[in-house]
Parts: sequence; C-alpha cells; structure tokens
Amino acid sequence: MNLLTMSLTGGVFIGVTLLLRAIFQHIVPRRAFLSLWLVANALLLIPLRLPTPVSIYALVEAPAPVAQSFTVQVTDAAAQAVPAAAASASLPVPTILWLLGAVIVLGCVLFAHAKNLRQFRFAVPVAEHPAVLPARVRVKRLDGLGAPLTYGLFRPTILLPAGEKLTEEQLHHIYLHELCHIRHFDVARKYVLLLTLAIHWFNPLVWGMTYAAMQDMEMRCDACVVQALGAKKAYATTLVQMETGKMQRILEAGFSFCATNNRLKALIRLKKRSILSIVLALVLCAATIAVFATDAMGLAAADPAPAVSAPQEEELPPEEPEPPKQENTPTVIFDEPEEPKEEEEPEPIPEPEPPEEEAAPEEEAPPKPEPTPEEKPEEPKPEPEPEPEPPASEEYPEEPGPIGTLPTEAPTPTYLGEIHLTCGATWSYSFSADRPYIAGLNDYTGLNHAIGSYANGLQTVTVIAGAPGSYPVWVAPSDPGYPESYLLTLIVTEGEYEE
Amino acid sequence: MRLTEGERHIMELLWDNGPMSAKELVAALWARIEWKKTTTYTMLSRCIEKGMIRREDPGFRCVPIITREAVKIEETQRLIETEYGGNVDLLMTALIGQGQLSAAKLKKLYETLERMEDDA
Repeated sequence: MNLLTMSLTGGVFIGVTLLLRAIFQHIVPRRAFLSLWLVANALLLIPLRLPTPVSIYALVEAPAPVAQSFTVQVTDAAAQAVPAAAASASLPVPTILWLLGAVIVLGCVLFAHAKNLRQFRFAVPVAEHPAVLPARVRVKRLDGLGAPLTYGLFRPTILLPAGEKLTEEQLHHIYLHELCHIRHFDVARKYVLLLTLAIHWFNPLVWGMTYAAMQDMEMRCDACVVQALGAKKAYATTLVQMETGKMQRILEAGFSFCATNNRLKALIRLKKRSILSIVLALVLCAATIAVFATDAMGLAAADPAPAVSAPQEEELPPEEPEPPKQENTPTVIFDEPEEPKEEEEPEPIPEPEPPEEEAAPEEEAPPKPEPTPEEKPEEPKPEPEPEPEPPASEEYPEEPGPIGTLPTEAPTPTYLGEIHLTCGATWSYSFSADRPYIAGLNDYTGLNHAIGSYANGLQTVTVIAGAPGSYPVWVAPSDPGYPESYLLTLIVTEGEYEE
Repeated sequence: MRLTEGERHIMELLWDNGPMSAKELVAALWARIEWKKTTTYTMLSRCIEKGMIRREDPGFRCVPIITREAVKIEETQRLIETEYGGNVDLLMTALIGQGQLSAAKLKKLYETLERMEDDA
C-alpha cells in the first residue's frame, strides 16, 4: 500500500475523529480522542490494515490504491518505481517534492528542538525535590523561560521559570499538570505526531490532527489536575496567572501550549466522569476504529500482495487460505462468472503428483496461495488439484520452485521476466509443448487477461493489458497435478513505453 | 545588574573563594548544579561580556568585578521599585506588619537604607 493511500485512509479517519471531537469533546473523556489520535498515527505510519466486514471501504469499489491486505507489502510505489526507474533512471517529480517537504518539516522541528535543548543546559536544579513528584523526575529552574514545561523522554525534567515568584499552590498545580504529561508519555506522543507530520506534510488533515492532539493532551492534563484537586477554581486561577508565557514550545509538553482560552473553556465545561460517558467513549472509539481504520474483507483483502511480491520477493508468510485448501473439498465457492478467462475447470480429481522438487515449500506457499485467493473466479482448479494429495508435509507439495526450476515431468518455459505493455495492448508468446497448458494471471480487477491456446505442438500464451499494475502470469500443464510456473510478469502502464 | 540563577552561582563561588581558575569553576559548578563543562564555559564567556568577571590569562583565572554588596543593593532597590513603587516606607510597613522586624533590626535596617540613599 502506498503513501497516498495511507494518507487518504488516514485522512478519512482523522476527519471522522475531528467531527466526533467537535460534537463530543465535552461529553466524553479526552482520553478517547487521544486514543483515536494514536490509531490515526498508526494508520499513517504503518501500511497495514485489518480486514473487517464492517469497514467503510467495503462500500468502495476497490480501485487499486485503496485495496490492502494484511500481509506486509512492499509499497506499490517502490515496486513500480523499479521498472520505471529502470527505464528512466531518475526520481519522479512528485517524489522529489514530497522528499523536499518532509525534509523541511523535519528540519524545522529538529532545529527548534535542538535550539531549546541548548537553552535548557543552563537550568539550575531546585533546592528541594518536591514531594509530590517521583524521584526520577528532575525539577530545574531556567532563566528566561516563559512557562513551565517538561522535556525528556527517558529522564523527564520539569523546567520552571526562574525569577518569578511562584506560590506553593501554583507550584503544586504545575507539578500535578506536568506529572500527568509524564505519566501519559506525552513527550513521546508529540514525537510521533511530528514524525507523522513530517511524512504526511502534504495532507492538511494531518496538520489539523497535530494541533487537535496537542490541545487534547493539555486539556487532558488539566482535567487530571482538577480531578486530583477536587476543585476547579484554584487551578483555573493558576492557569490564568501563568498565561504570560513568552516561549511557547512545540516539542516539550508545556503548561500553556495552545491558546489558554481554549483550555479555560474546556475546564469550565468539564464534567465529572460518569459510567455513561465512559461507555459512550468506548462505543465511539470502537465504532470509529472498526469502520474507518480497517479495510474490506474478501476480494480486496487479497490482491496487490501477490502482484508485487510473487516473482520479486518470496518473503511473505504463508497465508490463511492454505489451511482451507487442505480441506479437500473442491469448494469452488467463487461464482464470479464474469471472468472471461479461458481456464477450463479440470475435474477436481486428486492425482498422484509428480515428485516433489524443491526447497522451502514455504517459499512456494506464498506465491501459490496468493494466486488462489484472488484468482478465485479464475483458478478454482489449482486449488482442488493439489488438495487431495495427502499433504503429508505441506499443503502444496508440488509448488513450483523458485523461478526457473523445472518440474521433471512436463517441460516448463523459462521465465521471461517483465513485459511492459500499455493499457489495451496485447502480446503473445509461444513455446513448443507436448501438451496443452493453461495460462493464468493474478489480477483481482479482472481487467487483464492471460489466455492459452494450443495447437500442433505449439503453446501460445496471449496477454491482454487492461489496467495498470504489475501482474504475474503463470502457466501450467492443463493435466491436473502439475505445478504452475511463472512465465512472465506483466507490467501495465498508461505511458508510452513497451517492450 | 540582574543576575540569573546560573550567574549567581558563579559569582557566589567567586565571592566566597576569591578568584578561581575556569577548571575549578567547572568542577565546583558540576557539583553544585550539575552543569557540564561546555555549559560552564559558555556561561563564563557571557559573564565576561557583561562585565561581571575578568579573565586573567596564565590559566584562565576568573576574577570577580562586581561585588556582593553592589548586587544586594541593586536587588533591594529593584524590589522597592517594583513592589513598593519606590516607596521605602511601604516596604517598612509591610515588614513590620508581617512581624518580621524587631526594634533592633529596624534600627539597623534604617541605617542601611540611609547609606543606600546616600549612594543613589
């Protein structure tokens, strides 16, 4: 799944969260939104999605970018950049722009952070360690500091403004607030937020999330203090008194990051936690995550993975579909008949198979199961075929070996590598064969085709390009019991080059 | 001149111990306020710029220029300016009201203040 998809789906999630926050922020504990922000960050940083039946993306007709799978994938961009780069030998402009933006944002953040840290060196520890704070938290005073703040991921330090007389009560409030930041790892959360921002700088919703999340962190800590004190007024007074903060820092969890006004308003409308509010929070979070942080199941769940991975890398973990295959039921549940493929349905009669050939059956497992789930409409047969074989060892004993290995029984054409076509183009390849072969193409969209035809000892495979992407094309003798072998990888583009 | 916390620590060390070498200051400040070597050196340069200390050079010795007394007086005057609108009497009233002054102390204080006014 590529960066744009992550940004898009992440953006949708953020949008929904912002909406919910606008409606429910004074009704539901802040923690709910902070959890949702964490999930949003995960969505934006990790290219994985859990497939769920309730996902909103089940309603979306899967265009290639949106479809995702549970297995880790090399990003499409990378996979397709490889052939592109091979041909043009330069980075595409959008990538350069993105890199530039990311570097700028990251640079600003790091520069500001470094500048702050240089200032913090001059802080002086306070005489007595406050009792309310755990021993590992250091407290120091710094001249020129506008408002109290906390920094440090592993060794948290609270900095107090020097030169200002702070009353015992004010100090108490400050310590409680900063302690809350420390306990909830807000410094780490900020780092994550800023990392996401650097990567997704082009997405305005991510900026919105950064601002909202930082606000939420402050407000949550305000709420914690008020809860600990049991009363609002004293703390609100302290907030106002501290408002004259000159240096508002972004990275450190400060006492007055966002407009203190908002924090005061939130404080005023703060209600005690009730069972109802907590339940509501759980429901909202669960629903939002289930619907917007996941991906559709079924078809969508199976696709570009193989397209990218199959001949290129065989690192994928064996997939779920394998166990089901072993059930030995030629359960051709897939009745998407619109597949105009030529696959004849061979009898799902078990055949004793040709001797086992290669190494890690695991390595084979991935390429095999992949074609199967997506090929559902197209290849019900490969499935039932090997199943019957008592999978003494693994489900697919006769997996084709690494590209190029020949099963001893039937001649296999050698792998042709990548064939580049533009949409709508066709291309044929013939090899001599003593028996007819079937050809198949791993394409969930059903727009690209591979068709086999056999006559007079010559097997011809014709590929028709229909939609952009990278599709492995395999062939196998049409007699049951033979492994498939990859013939070529079809790369379809909308550009002009052709091989 | 207004001293920041760090500067105050440096000056106190120098007032208490007389001129010290930078190395000694580094060690002392590390013990007192956990300042690293670079931090101390940077702060020393700033103090030199501000005219608080003077550098003598076989061995980077730091010699205080401003005195403790001068700083005390300045801070007190600042306190009176800011908190009491420049009105010493108000300060006195406040201190008496707080019960912090005995007659003897009060007398001594007046003497000090008169000296201040003479200087100013």
